[in-house]
Amino acid sequence: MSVEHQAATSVSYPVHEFTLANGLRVVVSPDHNAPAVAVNLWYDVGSRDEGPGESGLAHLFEHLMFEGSAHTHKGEHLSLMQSVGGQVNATTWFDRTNYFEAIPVAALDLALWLEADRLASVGEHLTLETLDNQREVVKSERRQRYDNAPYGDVLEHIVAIAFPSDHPYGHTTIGSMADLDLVTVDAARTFFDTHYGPNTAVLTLVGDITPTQGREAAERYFGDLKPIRHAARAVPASLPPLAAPSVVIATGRVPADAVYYVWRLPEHGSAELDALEYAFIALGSGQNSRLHRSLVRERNLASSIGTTIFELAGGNSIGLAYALGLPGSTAADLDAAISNELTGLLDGTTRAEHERATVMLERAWLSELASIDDRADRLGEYATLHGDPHIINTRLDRQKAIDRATVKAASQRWLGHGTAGILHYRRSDS
Amino acid sequence: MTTRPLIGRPTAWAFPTATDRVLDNGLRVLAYNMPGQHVISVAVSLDVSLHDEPNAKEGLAALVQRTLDEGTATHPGASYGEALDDIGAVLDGHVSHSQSVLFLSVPSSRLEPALRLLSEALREPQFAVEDVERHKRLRLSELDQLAAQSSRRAEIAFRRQVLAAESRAARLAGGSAATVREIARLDVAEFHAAHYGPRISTIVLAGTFSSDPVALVNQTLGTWKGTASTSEHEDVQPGVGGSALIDRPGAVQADIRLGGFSIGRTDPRWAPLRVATYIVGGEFLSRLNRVLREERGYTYGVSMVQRPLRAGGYYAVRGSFRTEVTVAALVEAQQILQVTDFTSQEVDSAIDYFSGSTALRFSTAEGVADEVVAALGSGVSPEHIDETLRDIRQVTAETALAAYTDIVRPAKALTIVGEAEPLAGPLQAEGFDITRIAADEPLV
Repeated sequence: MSVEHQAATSVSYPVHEFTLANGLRVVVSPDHNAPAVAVNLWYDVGSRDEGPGESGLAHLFEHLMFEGSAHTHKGEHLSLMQSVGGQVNATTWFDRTNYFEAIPVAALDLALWLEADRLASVGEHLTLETLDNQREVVKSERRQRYDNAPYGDVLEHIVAIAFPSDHPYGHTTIGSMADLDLVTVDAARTFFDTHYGPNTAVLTLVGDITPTQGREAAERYFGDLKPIRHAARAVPASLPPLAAPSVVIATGRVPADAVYYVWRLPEHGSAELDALEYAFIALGSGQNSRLHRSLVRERNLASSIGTTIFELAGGNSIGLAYALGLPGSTAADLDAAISNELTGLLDGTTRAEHERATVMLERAWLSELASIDDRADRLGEYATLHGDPHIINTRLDRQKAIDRATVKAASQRWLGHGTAGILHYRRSDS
Repeated sequence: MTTRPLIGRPTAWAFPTATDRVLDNGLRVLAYNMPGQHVISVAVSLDVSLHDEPNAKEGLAALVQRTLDEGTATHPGASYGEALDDIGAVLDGHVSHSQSVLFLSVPSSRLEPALRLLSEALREPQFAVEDVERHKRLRLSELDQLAAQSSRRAEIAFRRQVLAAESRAARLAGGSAATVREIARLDVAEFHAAHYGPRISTIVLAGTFSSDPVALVNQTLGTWKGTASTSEHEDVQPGVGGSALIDRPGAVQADIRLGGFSIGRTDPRWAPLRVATYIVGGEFLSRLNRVLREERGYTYGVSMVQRPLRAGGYYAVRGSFRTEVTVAALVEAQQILQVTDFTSQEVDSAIDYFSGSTALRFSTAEGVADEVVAALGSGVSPEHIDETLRDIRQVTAETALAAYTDIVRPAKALTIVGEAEPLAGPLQAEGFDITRIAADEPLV
């Protein structure tokens, strides 16, 4: 049957940018549909900035940002924001540490006051007691998410496959227990002084606010902060695709074998990565994808499959394809089946696949931007990592302009035979 | 640095008003027009009680929901999924003990073709035997994966203790390996025919509509016929409680569920109980989390939640703890649960959280649709959402304490999933009369 061409819904959000004298970048995107404001701070730091023996420090520091400042007690930032009706959290990843609260408009001044207070003073207010406490909390987090979870060490294998151990992306954000145990108050303070300043931050405000209100509020609460000395990051040169890596075998107490294909891909923002997105969708997004049709539907080899791209800004991204086996499927079976689909994909995607992927990208993008907090985070990301928050309005058009020939060329270059590191995760007999 | 800004207490943001119509065939339509929401959320809530499943074939309703998008009469086999993808529509759903739900999301300009496809899945699913068999296999595999996840395992086992064992609600909504194996293609088709129909369904649409949503639903689902009538919902009774320790060899943490039988959303104590639960275990600096995470460092997070069923329900303290501190955490949690008073400041903060957070929760199409579906699953109308918020704003320290002490009594049911060997002795020593359960005990 033919694919219908439907009129696309394209949306453009207003984006206003200012920079304060101290270097703080401020992005304001008015949206008067709900009396709420999403406040988002991106700091230009992530686990890629951790030195040897420092794994986990960026994320641990994210915890410490909630644990007291010049004018707040331990936990009070979060507690106060909740008490005014806010949804508040923070995350850390390879390229990212972000802090956000979505709050009723009336609470905006309080939110900004709190954010400015901790940016100004957390370093001086760190105590060993608080550090020890959050160290234990982070270690519990590691156990809960990874050490106590089936297949929990997969991410460690993935980064080890994709990058050398001394590469900024060669270790996981959660860090090792050993490194976490080594963190001192001085090390934490130094990390803060090195990475947290108005000039390393992007403050984004989305919601029931005007650009003038946003600018004035930013000036009022952040204007007095001093910039920090901040050296430009040394971004490693982009690495080529992996060259014929060997298969990595891991075992664990898991109910079924699983296989992961790991690729080095071009960095986020590159045209080739945009093109590869189409290939990954065709390969493993949804029930019409090649891996689902073959491994789940037709051959009863896998209970689930998927593909994903970790979009990273520092030279390379990571691409993944995985299959989780049904009882009786071995890792070898799954591997052979994925390999088979990959070979077919390198001949190019079909016109139907391409059109479907375009529609999926559009839908996913619109869906993501429907909430003010996700919108604020995207603006913060584009401002911090790519220097331009307006990408939020051009990204989709850029993706839709890609043609199948470009997808095929990028696939052959980056997903060709021998470019994937392969992890066989086998259930151990016990 | 300026002084801390003082702000007024948040006012509640009222739930949006729906266009509310019942079509000639009995299908209720609730449409929420929301500006700036270009992806429409559509949810079909079907009044299906799992109490209606034959005992030997539990999991039927879930198999129906999972298989109805694997091909329809108009779009057989894979062509149905392709048709959804072609218009950027995503269809999924879930089954709870009192409700089956389909969720569809689609860009606004494609709402009409999406509703046509949704209509096909509701009215004319093929239930091809190979698709039914595949979803049975997938369910068995899913049970293996659930059993391997500490927190999921704890939740499943806990339900069996805290709700009467003979209740359907105590057992898995999607059925066990033993019951799912018994299901044949014909069973699935018959269950669908008997339980899917307009008279027991409500379709909720939320987003920015480019044309009249009620008219679109009428065009696509107005001729839906079906004999399905309202389900009889189970009156769930409390379980016997007790303490279970499920062995998970090699585990570095233990998952705890400590709690008891509770009330549903229609109980007059619901609003004060919610406030009390938030104070004790909902907010970041709740009584439980403030101590067990922020002082002791025992856990990444401990919480207390209410899990309302259509009538009745249960509450649980839940958290993952390093094996070595698990028993200490449990003992301290029990002490914290013995609440003798709430302060008015605690209550005001909780009320402000519920009031103030509504603006954000109800600002997306998905948030609105989810909230309405939850209300329908509890057997209440969407108006109940605002009523509950008003009730919450009336809660006082006294009413919160009264509701709390009514429901939360000393230790009723405990489930721990973790390495049994180091935990068994210390648990017994603390007075827990534990039943040990082997790692390979099947999930029910």
